[in-house]
Amino acid sequence: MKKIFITLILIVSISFSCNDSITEDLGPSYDRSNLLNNWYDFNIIPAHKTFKRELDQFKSKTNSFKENPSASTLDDLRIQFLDTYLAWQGVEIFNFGKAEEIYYNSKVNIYPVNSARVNSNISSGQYDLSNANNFAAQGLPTIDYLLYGITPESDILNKISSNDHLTYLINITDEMITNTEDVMRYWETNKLEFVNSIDNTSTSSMNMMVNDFIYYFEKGFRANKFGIPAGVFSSTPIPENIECYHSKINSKKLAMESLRRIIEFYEGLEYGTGYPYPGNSGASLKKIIIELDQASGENNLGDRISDKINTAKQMLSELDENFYNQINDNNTKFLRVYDAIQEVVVLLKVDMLQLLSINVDYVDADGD
Amino acid sequence: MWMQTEIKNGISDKIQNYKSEYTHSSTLAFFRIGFGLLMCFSIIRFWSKGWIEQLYLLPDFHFSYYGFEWIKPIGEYTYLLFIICFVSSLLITIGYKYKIAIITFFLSFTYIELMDKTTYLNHYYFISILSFLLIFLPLNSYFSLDNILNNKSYSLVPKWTINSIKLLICIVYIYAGLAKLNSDWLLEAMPLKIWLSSKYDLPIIGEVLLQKNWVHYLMSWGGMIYDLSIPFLLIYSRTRLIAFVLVVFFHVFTLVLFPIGMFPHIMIFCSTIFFSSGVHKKVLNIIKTILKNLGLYFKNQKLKQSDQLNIVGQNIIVPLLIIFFFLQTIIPFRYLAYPGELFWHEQGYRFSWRVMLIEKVGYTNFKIKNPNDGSSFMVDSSKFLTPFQLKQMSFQPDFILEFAHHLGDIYSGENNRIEVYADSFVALNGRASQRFIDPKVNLYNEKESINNKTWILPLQDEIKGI
Repeated sequence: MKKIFITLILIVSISFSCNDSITEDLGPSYDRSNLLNNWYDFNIIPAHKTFKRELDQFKSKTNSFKENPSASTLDDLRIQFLDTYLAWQGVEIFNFGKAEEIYYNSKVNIYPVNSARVNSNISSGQYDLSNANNFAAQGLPTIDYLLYGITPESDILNKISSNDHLTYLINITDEMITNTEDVMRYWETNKLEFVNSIDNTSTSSMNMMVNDFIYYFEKGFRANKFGIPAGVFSSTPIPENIECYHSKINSKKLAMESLRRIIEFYEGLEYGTGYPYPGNSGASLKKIIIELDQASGENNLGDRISDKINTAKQMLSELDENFYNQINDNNTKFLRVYDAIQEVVVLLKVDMLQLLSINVDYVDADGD
Repeated sequence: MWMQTEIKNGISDKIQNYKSEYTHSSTLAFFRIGFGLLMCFSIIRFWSKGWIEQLYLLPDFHFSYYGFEWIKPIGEYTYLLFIICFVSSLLITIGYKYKIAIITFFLSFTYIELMDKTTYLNHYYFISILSFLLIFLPLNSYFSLDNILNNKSYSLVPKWTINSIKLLICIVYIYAGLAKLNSDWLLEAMPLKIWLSSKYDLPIIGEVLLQKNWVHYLMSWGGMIYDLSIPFLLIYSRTRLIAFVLVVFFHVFTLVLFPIGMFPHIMIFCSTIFFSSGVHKKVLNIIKTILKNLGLYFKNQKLKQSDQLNIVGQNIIVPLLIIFFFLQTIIPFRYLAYPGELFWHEQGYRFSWRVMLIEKVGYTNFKIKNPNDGSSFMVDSSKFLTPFQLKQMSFQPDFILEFAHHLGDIYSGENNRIEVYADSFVALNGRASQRFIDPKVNLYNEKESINNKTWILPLQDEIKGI
């Protein structure tokens, strides 16, 4: 018995010394609570505040337009509309808590817009914006339709300045403002609970944030902005399904902005400024991954994800400002961007989830 | 010639002698009661977690075992199946119409397991084959309702009946141990390294201890040595007590760390069969006292205490069980018939006591292509599968093939047979992800069989060992 034991110990020690790919101990130097704090202070709150500010601006520009409808006030409104839509790109990632509960994302940014529904709502004046059937008849895509989509184009100024259209525009803007205030109140009152929920369970803030991030990257960014209009999920391309279809010219700007917010979230950069989180341990998702994947050396997953995101960003920047034209003129080039984004999805959903040992499903079935 | 006959006679004498060795039947009675109660509890637990609905009723599509495609959940009647399984467990516990009860249990439990392989667990398979074995053993010979009704009770049963249960348990441990003799487990401490360091939220040990490299190696090696040695430590009477303490410690530890359900309870209970019949008798006496206090203990005045129980059909049962155990020892080695890395392609992985050996994450999407005009589109698989099925499907080739056929059936027109291609990436035991399925192979044309699946791309790495 003793002999066997000694032999085994020998085998163990030999195999330890033979193997030089053994990694360092994983230390608790990355602090998940610190990471949640950083996300909260430097990404979530500033993104929501910015969006709210832009919405308020939009409301006041709408009022100016109402008082004095002209081509110039309409232009002001359109410019402010783009700023508001850009600000939204920082909010959509965080489909969490109140936002999830009230279908905030669906109410603000489901596209394509259901223009028939918008028109019937406007003409009847009877509608309930919390009804799921009206999700595609409100929010930013609806404003895009009202400001750019009415045909013929020469009618836009006339129609949008009419009482019923203006009332609808103001109503859906107010709806967004109210919902945004609700969501912001949720974040303000739940900070402590949020930053302390670091367990590795399906309901902890930590895991839900990672899952929300992946979901946004795969669905909100990859599928909605690229895959669906490019025809990846259908037999033929559907360029009408790009984000901001009626203004068209804004589509690339929105996608670029969305990617900027994604990079900030992943790399640990402050919203807007793009500077690394301040403080002693500026814990970020990337830093945790790098620490967990020391064994890979040069090929660290944290860096590989950054590299692939940057490749996608580079390719995205070379597309036409107008995705509608890009898809019609050269969909292959557009699809190549989709493929580059898809490579990031693989790293996030397979390699990253394995490393973090986070489950994507919420079924608590037994394992063995 | 003469020598050979003598050896033959010697062996058959030994077998004859062994067949006529007897031991006290309290062990079998003890095992029957424990097994029955554990199964009752398992079924209640499964039901109360809402898993019958979640795993068997909600999904539109079910993954079948090769050759058992005809076994599917039966709608609302699935609940009836679980009730039958529960009632038979109850009858096993009290030892009423034991033979019918254990056969019913084996059939209903195995049917449940065969309904959808998404839920495959090694310990479910263990329960299935254990209950098959128990069909042939006289677990109602003592301390059972059958005794009272038949006016007969036996204090001695053939020794091989108890030893065959022990043998099955030993096979489980030893094969689980052998499976750990591979480079991922021993040299990389994978996948324990991933799992343990993700338990940072456990009190006391999570933040520091479970993050330590040496802890990962200690637990990998400890688990391997435990599995390989515990059967012998349990068999040998002088180490039995310490072995049992180890069993309890090990399984409680795994229970805390991993979501492995009933497995620890079952294995802890099973190891108690190694104790002497005196211990089991004492436990039965305690149960007797409790029943008496509750007024539930019936004494049959006509009960005849017989000594030996002679098993009817022993001459058929013994060879049958020898074949059964022979199969148990070779089935785990069937993977040798397949080229490539077992942990990667998983051909011959199940039913082999390979427990907790691999951490796999997959991401598999399907492309439907119309060969007539060359157009194609990607499918949203989550429309057809539950998140749990989606997860299991994404890294297991037989699941991928079965689902590809399901999609092919859905999207094919009457005169237009479409093509199905998989875009699949899998990561194994901390390795970087790589492409899993040949994207150029039309899976709709590939048939499920026991032959090697040539469309699985090889792992760009080697795992040495058994």
